[in-house]
Amino acid sequence: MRTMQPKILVIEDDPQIRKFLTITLTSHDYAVIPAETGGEGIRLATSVKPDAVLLDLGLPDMDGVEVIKSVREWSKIPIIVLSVRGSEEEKIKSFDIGANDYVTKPFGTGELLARLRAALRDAIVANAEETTVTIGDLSIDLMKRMVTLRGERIKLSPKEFNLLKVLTMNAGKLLTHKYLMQQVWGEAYSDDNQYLRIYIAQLRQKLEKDPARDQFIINEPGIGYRLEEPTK
Amino acid sequence: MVLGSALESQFHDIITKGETDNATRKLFLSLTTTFTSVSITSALAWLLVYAGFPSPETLSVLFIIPVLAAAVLHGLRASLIAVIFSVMAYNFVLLPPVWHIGLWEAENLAKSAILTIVALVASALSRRVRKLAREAMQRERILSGVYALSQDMLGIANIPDMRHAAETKLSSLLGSEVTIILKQEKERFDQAGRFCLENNTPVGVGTKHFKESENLYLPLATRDSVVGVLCLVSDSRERFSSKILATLAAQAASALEKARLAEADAKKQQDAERERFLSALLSSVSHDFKTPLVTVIGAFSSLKEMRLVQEHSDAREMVAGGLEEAQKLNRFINNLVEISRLESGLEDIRKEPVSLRDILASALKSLHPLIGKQRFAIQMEDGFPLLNVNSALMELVFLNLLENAIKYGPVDGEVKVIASFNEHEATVDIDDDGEGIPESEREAIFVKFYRSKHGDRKIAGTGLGLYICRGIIEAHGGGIAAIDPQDGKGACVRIFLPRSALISVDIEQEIEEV
Repeated sequence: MRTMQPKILVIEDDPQIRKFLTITLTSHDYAVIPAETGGEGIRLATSVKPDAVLLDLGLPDMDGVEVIKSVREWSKIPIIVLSVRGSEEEKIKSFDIGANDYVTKPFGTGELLARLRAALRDAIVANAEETTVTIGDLSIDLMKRMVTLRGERIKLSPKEFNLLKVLTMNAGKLLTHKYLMQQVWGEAYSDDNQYLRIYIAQLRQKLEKDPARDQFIINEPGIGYRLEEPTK
Repeated sequence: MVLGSALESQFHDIITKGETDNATRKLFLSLTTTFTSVSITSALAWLLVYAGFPSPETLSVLFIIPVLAAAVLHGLRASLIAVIFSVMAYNFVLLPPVWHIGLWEAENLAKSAILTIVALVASALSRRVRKLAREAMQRERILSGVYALSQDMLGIANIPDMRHAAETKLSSLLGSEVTIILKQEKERFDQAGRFCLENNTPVGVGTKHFKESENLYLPLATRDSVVGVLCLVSDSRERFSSKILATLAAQAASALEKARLAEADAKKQQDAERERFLSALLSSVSHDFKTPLVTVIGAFSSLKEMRLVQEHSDAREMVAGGLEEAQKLNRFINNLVEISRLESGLEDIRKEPVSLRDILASALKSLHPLIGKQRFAIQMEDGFPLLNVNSALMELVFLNLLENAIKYGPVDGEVKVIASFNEHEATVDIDDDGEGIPESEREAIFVKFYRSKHGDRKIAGTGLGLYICRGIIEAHGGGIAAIDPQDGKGACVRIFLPRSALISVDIEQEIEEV
């Protein structure tokens, strides 16, 4: 039960970006705690105990990855990394160390808020199996194993459905290749993600009838996939 | 010096002209000096006789001196004249009756004969010595010339300077005007020169070809090719052996070749330097552009959601326009960054298995703000393999191709992506319904900064999109080309990816349960 505004720690050295993040998040009912440096960020993370952290990887005093390491020593609070295009390796590294999600700069506020919501929702979806989940035009009945797109029934194979189910239960969250493989194919397959790519392609073929509008499955290169409501 | 002797066999010494006026002067000089020396000797002999020298006949020995001097200094002709003068003077001054010429006595004849033999031998010897000395001096001069030439060329790293240095040096060395014509200067060749270049043989005066020519043409040959022709205007007073000329030509040729290599090397270095600079510049520019863009795009996208903006149509339009432009700028910067990376050639391309569907989905998501009423269709052949590529780069390829299809196609057009494969390669076509690309421009559109000359020029573009596409695809061992659209309308760009960029995955077919 959250009675207060969620507290978001924003660790970003560029003053303009920090300002824009503060205004945007405040206007969406978040309490923002800004930090300019990694050191300040780590200090505030311990003293303020935020509900989530937005972290820029390119900080003046230390590598953003060090901030993640330091925070992960004592806390599991969601960390969303703000990274630039072209630094894929850094992104993957930060994910391995314990970042929960990331947004590529430059980003729209819609995207950022969706990530933040998904990160804060964390524990809420656990019982989703009893419900029908609606994502845009897509509706997934997890109990009856029934999928419809704009009211039209979509036929899926068992593996395809299981994959969609895992994605649906964690809608909005970035799931790693490894996690998806383990959930759908079992532990033994966790390192081989070629099946996963083929099945995702098959799912897209069936679900994303109009490739420009039905963008449910988001690919995060090198890391994994997420299921998301398409942007309007 | 295989080359030298080969050339030597092909032509004789160069005969030089224009010596006549000089010879007359020489003859006059030798006559006067001979006459003077004989007179001095006679005077000396007469003085000795007058002073009471016991046997005047023996004084005939003295006349060997002017004969020898004439032979050594002026050669055979002068020494024979000296013999005649001496015999006459000897008879006239020393033999009784004094002041009387009596040539026909036996003793006189014998002395004359001896003097003549001395003259002949001495002049022959001295001529030989002179010739040797002259040759040695010439060789010395040529050698130091060749040395100076090679010294000069040490510091020269470009062809024009090297040519100038060689021309000046050789002109002063050979005493006649030397011109170097390089192979590429086609318009400067006359017929003889071209013959020399093409057949790698000396041509012109004193050779077997074009004998009537005033000039001598020597090929400037290096070990593997003829780099040009050395043209010698034959007004030189000196003659040079073919061997020396061939050596000089070879020297000049190797100097020019060296200059060419140095020039090419310097250019390569310069290019690399520029590439590095550009790459560093672009990456710092891209970072400095991107940081403000984070705020700009973020702020615009925030504004777009605000009720204040949504309720006001002008504001809504302005914000949407600003956001769209900022995103376009972002795509442009991404292209620039990738170009600088690819062109610097420093970075390895990290490949991973990805599906074409994923790449297309990501590209279409990035283009979302641009997409209006266009319809998209993705047709993939069953069992289409995974791609073993760099997914970020490949996404950029499809981003550019799809952006073009959106920009150049009609607002309600259809964009088709058709993927098929065989055992050798996979092809992916991106086909739109726009005006198409005229055949004449199908190659040029992939050139950096090329902008199509036909059609609607109001469409904004940088001329980088297709260039970067080709760069990325080629870096993966594939190809890209504009082809005839299979549906007969619009443009169609086809990507080829080789076997090495594909991964086939066998999966057991499942029965669809629901």
